[in-house]
Amino acid sequence: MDYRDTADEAAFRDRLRAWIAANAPRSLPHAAEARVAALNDWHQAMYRGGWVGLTFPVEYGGHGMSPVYEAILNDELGAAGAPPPPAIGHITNAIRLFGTDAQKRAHLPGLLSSTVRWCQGFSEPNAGSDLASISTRATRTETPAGAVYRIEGQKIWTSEAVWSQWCLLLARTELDRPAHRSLSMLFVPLATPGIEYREIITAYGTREFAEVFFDGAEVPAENMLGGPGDGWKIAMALLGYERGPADVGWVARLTRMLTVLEDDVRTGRVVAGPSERRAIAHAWVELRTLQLHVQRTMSSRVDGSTPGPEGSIDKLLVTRAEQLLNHVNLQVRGAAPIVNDGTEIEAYFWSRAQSIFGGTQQIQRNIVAQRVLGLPRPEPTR
Amino acid sequence: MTRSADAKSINFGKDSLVHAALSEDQVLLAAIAGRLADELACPPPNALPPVEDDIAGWRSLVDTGFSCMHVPETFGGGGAHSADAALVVEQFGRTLSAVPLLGQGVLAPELASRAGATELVAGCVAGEQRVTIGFDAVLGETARCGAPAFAWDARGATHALALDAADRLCLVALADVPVACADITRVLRRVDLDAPAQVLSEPVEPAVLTGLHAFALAMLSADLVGVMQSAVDAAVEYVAARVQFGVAVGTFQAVQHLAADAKVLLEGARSSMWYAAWAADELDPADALLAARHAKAYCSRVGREVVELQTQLFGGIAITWEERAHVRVRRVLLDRVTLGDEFAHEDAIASTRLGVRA
Repeated sequence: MDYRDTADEAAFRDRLRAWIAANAPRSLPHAAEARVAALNDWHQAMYRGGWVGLTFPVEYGGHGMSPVYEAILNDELGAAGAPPPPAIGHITNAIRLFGTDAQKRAHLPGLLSSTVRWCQGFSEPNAGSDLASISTRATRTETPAGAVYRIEGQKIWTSEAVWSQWCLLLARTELDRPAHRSLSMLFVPLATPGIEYREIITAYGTREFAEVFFDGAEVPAENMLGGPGDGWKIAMALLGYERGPADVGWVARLTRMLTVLEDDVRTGRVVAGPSERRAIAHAWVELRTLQLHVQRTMSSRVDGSTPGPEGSIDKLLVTRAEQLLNHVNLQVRGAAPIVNDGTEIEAYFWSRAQSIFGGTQQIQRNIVAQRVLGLPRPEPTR
Repeated sequence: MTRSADAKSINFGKDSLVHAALSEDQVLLAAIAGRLADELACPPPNALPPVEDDIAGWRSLVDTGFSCMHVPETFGGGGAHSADAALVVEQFGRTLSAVPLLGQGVLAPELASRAGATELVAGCVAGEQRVTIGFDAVLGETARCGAPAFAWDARGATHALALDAADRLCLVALADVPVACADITRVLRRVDLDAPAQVLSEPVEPAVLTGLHAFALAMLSADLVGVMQSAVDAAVEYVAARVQFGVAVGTFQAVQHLAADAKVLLEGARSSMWYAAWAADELDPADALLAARHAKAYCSRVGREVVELQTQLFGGIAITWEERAHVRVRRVLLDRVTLGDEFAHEDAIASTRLGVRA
């Protein structure tokens, strides 16, 4: 146990701080296209600065460092009020763990450098929490040009589909096998004929999600990640990373929000009485707990292990911290965000989504109860 | 506690060091302490409260060196790291032990050694001097001579420690009758205001007292984590065995979700406590105190939440004297108020982070 930075870590932290001070945008535009463009610029700048793919092998554009550096990165970005890092930890790790060398060479550099954007096609209108019941099919077909998978079905809640070039698609390929063994994971270029999408406007007025429709879109058979029937296993490993607060930049985002609120109170831009000051301290306590827990999670990965069901504890701690922080933010800021609908309200709605996406709070609790605490599974109702 | 001991040689280069994790030595220490803590576990509730002093139990703390383990070796103590001391305290919290490790084996010798009271510390290390920490009438800080105060965790103790107006360490005698403490695993006594205090040291520097404060908050947090662990273990075991509607109630999601919530809060508390316990020996007093206030605030809040979840998971039997659930609740109620609950610490944190309010 040692929480003090090593000499290398301290040097990394110093370089990072200086780089953030010189390069981070002060704020992001609110409008969707401008915001996505600004975030993309920021992520590409982060990559050029050497701050993306810290734990990734050098040969794929990463830096081969210990997972604890991801926690340092999140803490420093958040403390400086900088935008979050690219949320690519889940897809990049899935490719790193299950991809062929050719797939890693083809896709990891573009992902890490944010020059190629990806979305994730998992959920369907009738398969949300019950992900294994998806009905999108990918049928293997021989053509003169070689074997292809022909895709029919519909995905929903596909984040950033509109801005992405590739989709990591979960589809049913092995129809003769039981549900969990019948799924496969495919790399699908979104420019493929036979794919259409319809944007979903969020409750807070932004465009982040889409419905994606597949009507006979074909991808080469070698676009499969892992083998036929490995889809569920890969999805579960990927979701482990998606639940990791430092893997997808949540710690940075929340730290940034608290930093801004504390600054506003310190400088008197926002007036806080004793109960508001106590509430801010409470939010700091929850967020600091999350940071320390994430450090612990990252330390446990130093032996190369992948996130297990314990990742659901991290997700539930993020949810708790984020929802409290947003209540405190609105409490302290009072009427101002209500009469000026903008980032505060968007952040608040996002905090409510935190307990829904990536596996609902209830699914995470099931995982903790059954797979961490070992309580018996209920009888399936299917 | 050396960092090189836990470095695992994998592909992350020369800088592959575990930070927020226990070393193999620490895992072993916790296991050994856990075995003794099991032997010295709180008796069944129908044998509570244990009025008698458990001399044999106290001797085993002394003989194993768990008592005074954090006292510097120059004082004859074990010279252990604060993080190691916390792991041991956690184990005795887990078994709700009534043997007064925290008051007499950890906090009193800590104050005495920081004040430089060599002779008193030697008596503590030998286990012959039964002295515990004194806290003021609201359990908010170290006792002051001449003011009403409690001897905390005073089972078998003859004296308590207090500070006089010049911050000199003093030994004060105890009144005869114990108070009706909600925590039936601990004895609290009032100090005898009529007996003269015996001055044992020169004035203690403020920074030393700040460091002591941080250490004490970290140790109380460790006790809370231990009680939470015990609550989760017991409740999970119970709901896995208790049958209603023909199945274990632990198969119901409504029940599983309560258990999951308790587990999540327990692990958040553990992550907080580890850092505070490490910081007590590693950071300067002001930073150690902020880390300790954080841990004590979090553990105080979620400590009560976890034992209340436990109560709900046990159902009606939790409200009976015979089941141990209430003993956990009682211990949490004392721990959380001792040296300040979450509200006290969050007010202090607000002053530290936001500046003192005009």
